[in-house]
Amino acid sequence: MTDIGLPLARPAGQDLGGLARYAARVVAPPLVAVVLLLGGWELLARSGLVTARLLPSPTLVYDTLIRSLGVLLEQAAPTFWGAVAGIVAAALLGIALGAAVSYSRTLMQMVYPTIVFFQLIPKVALAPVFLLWFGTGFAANVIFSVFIAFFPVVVATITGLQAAPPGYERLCRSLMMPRWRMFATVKLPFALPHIFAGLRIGVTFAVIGVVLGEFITAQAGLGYIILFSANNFETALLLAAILLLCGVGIVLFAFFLALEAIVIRFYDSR
Amino acid sequence: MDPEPVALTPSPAAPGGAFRLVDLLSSPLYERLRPLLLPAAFGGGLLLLWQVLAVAFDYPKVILPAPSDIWAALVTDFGAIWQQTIPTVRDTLAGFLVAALFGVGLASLLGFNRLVRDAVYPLVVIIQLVPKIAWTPLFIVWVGIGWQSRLTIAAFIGFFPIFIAMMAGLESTDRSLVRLSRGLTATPWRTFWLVRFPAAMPYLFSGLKIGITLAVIGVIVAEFISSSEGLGFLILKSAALLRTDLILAAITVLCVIGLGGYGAIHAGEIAVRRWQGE
Repeated sequence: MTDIGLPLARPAGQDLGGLARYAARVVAPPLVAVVLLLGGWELLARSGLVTARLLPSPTLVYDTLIRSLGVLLEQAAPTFWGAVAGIVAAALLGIALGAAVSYSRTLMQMVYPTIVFFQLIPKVALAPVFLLWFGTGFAANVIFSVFIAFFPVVVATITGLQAAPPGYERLCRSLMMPRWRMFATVKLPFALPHIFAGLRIGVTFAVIGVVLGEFITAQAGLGYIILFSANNFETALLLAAILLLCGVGIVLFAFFLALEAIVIRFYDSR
Repeated sequence: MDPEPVALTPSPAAPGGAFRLVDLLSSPLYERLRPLLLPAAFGGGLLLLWQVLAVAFDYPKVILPAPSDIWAALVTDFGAIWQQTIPTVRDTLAGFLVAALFGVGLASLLGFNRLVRDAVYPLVVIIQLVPKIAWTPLFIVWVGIGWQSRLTIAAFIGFFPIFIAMMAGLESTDRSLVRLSRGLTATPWRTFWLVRFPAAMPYLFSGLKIGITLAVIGVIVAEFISSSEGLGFLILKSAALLRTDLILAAITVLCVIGLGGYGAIHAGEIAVRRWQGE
């Protein structure tokens, strides 16, 4: 074991072997588990022990997904864009408020416990009130989604802005650096991993907020399709819609992972 | 801004001279109470502002009832609210217990076998990312519209944070301690029970705290979608009747439930930590 970890010092063949070992250890076991799970499900559904209403087979769900793809994608659009609008607004508001609150110790001691309080209470219960206030359209769903996704972002921003080591802060002060420059060059880079962690939670919450609004108003969106197919016992359509919704959630999540990688690389390269 | 009129009159406690606000604000007692006083003042101020705005601008009660209206609804309709509180609390607690049992149990089992762990853990992490609340109608198709489906949904949603926290806790155990206990010929079971399980405690409790909050949410959403009892049902019914004051009164009770569950787990954590001798 003289390998010191430099990629250039490693012969190419060894790298491939490492890749294969990585695949065998990390990728293969969950893949096998998924195949076993789907296979068992398919067998159970085909054995006739459970009806297709209760548990449609994976192939039936796939068929339904392909057959109803037009309708499903049409309904996925408001859900997707609602969640995008929700997380973008929640991110802007959350980061701005977090930064403002972190500016003063008094403000922070005043506001932070209130924010934590809102973190702990079941905010979804407020959905009907938002619909009373803002109507039953797309806008109300987005506003509710912003409300739900906002809190993890604020809390993460406030936590992150305290993450810079106090020594750095003292150094900046003694160099007479203006506060906004200290914020941009020291505090923000240290806060970024926390902020992105908050955004990752927030983006899941934003999707939940939109879907919940769609559950209650039942006019459009994947939430509406899910509720509609559950009421009609069209379980295959229900599962297809949930699958598409999971796709929406994972696409948005992956977008924020990519954004995090880009932003962090940008800061690292300076 | 400062609501304390004390500052205007000379205090008998101050030795000689007039009492000054500056002295109060820099006293050690104020420094100690500051983390409590400031948020209380902020929260009280918000409520006061809400009350004043609602009364001054004479908003319709349907849109924005004043805090006093909400309190009145809470008092006059307490019987109805209490009647709906019982099923919500019952289903939440039951669902949370099932979630904790399965979460801790499955994480502990996976801790014994590396291959199974590598197969199952990534799947759970991926499921953690998708909006699970949206699966609620599916459970209603499977389990029916009774309390059983509410319990199942609460357990399903509460399971993931508990499981993931327990996994993280078991994996964070100090390796040298595990090697030491193996070297002392402890069985895997004894190593688990005496070394790894106690080490996972802080992680487990943070997972339980998230789990109980999510269990409440799961029950409420299930009650929204199909139920004829519970606070979620009361909220939807009040929304249909435009009784916004009753909605907010029910939500106040829900907040108390949520905070109570969180507080109980926090108290449990302190008790366990003390028992572990820290």
